[in-house]
Amino acid sequence: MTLEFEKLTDSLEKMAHSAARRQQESDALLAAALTQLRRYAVSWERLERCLERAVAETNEKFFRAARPIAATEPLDQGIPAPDCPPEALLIASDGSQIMPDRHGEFLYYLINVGLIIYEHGYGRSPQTITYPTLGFPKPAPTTETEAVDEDAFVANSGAISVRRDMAEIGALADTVWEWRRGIQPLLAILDQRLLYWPIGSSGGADSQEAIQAWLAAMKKMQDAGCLLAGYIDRPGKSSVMTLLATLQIEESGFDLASLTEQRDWSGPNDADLYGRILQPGERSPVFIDISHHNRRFAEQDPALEVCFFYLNPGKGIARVDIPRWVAEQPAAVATTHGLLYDQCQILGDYPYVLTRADEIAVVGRREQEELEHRIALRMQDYGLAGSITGKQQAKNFARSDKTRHE
Amino acid sequence: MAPTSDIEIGRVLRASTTGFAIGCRVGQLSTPAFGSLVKAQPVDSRETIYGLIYNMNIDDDQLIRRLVMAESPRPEAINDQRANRMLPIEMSVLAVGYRRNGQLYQGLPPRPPLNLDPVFLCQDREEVTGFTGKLGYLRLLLRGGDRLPTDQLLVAHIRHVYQQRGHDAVWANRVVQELVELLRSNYDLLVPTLEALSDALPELTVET
Repeated sequence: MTLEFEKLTDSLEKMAHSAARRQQESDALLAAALTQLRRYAVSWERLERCLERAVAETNEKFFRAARPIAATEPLDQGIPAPDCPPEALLIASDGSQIMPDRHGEFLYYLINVGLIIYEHGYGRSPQTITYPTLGFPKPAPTTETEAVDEDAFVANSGAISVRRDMAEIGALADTVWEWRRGIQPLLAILDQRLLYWPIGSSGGADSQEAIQAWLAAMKKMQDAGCLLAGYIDRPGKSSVMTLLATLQIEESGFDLASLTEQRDWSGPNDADLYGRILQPGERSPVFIDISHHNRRFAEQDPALEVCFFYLNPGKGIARVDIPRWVAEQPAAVATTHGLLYDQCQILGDYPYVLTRADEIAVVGRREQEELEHRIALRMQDYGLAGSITGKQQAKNFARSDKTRHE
Repeated sequence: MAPTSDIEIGRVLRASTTGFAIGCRVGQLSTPAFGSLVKAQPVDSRETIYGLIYNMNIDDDQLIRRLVMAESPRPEAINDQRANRMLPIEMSVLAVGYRRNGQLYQGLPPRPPLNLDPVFLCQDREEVTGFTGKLGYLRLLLRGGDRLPTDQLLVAHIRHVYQQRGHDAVWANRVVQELVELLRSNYDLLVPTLEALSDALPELTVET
């Protein structure tokens, strides 16, 4: 044991004290926000007017808010889960990756996508499929986009994450397309936001390419006639909180900059707000995401604009992203809501199909060791011997008698 | 070679001289039962090892625990767990004999089976009759110690074999006589065993 806990005693005390103070501040802000929400729950004209002014007068790049999609659902009301359709097809995907390890025996990365096809109401065992992809440095010259330089290959982890995201939605869209003439309704589910923006990539042409691929996959699912949802557990978005903040924009002395500082706000967020309102199974009204990212989605195709609602899945609050082609049809929203809540009830608070897609996708430590053993065997056929670095060797020795829990 | 009537019920997970554990899928669970005679059948020239199933263990994990807590688990989820997820059902087997060069022996095998050797339920009447014709293997069962539910295992095994041998009352009575002989100084085990046997095979006149 090397962690000397007694040296952290003071820090632990300060940490708890700080958390308690932040909680007090957050509770006060949340109470104020709830009052606002109830007061203006159906003030559609004022909400729209203030929001329009905020959009016009703030820096679009930093402004994130929410607009109610219809003036029919009061903002402070939970909408109970409707009856679930007796039959439906649910397809969910998730992915995992093994990043390149500079200290490992051979340089490679692995992306593994897990996909589950679940025939709701039929009692049959679901189908599970995996799509593993192995990446490795290519010899020069190459026409591949793969990095030739080994340092660059190792440093490419952001791009690998983006490839994993593309593989997840690509596999989902392809499978939905194959099953489009089967059981209806068909709900495709991703374990992440629909308003995709590559994180960790260079932000250049690769990012644009990724966004286009993402939008193309969404479009393919729309063409397949399916419903689509991105499920986000414990969301951190504060778009509705910002919407409420805009209500003060007509007051003299209002600081416009405060609307764009929300993104750094560590106070209560939308989930905290709707956590006080929604009972198990209930959802919030549907909102359109107001952001420059979503504007780009809408410019590409209005049907791909991302909307969302909050859901109490039984414990905590989740956010469900849905495309506009689903959001503007009340029956489609109801079906999505009902099926997702039904899925959450299987395990208590999280969709069963996403739990299983994640389980299928995850590559455990033993599987990784087996893969590396097989890589080493194939390398031997070409007279290639790998070696781990001294650093990795020392780590292996030091950790050899410890159990890793997966 | 296993007779064609034998049913594969799983493969060896781990083994020792005194017994082995079998891993099987849910779909393979319908035929083997507590007390059944099984055999690990190597594909090469090693010995076929006979044993009795004395325990079946079904493990859980966190996902199963959460599903159990659900008010009404969906049939899709139950079937998913049983058909797709890799949670083997484990059966423990007490080694009681082996076959080498076509010759049957009762007693511990010279070496255990290896991992992944297929295991079959002994269904062939001739084979079951041949192996159980001598009763020396019952001593191994009685010496199994606390890990075995000895009286219940004896009763379950005798009932299975009695049926497989075509309701062979003569054989069953020989077994009872053998048990009386072997357990004459252990009434704590003999009496409940004979009582349970009378309940399990009421058509049999247990002559002690």
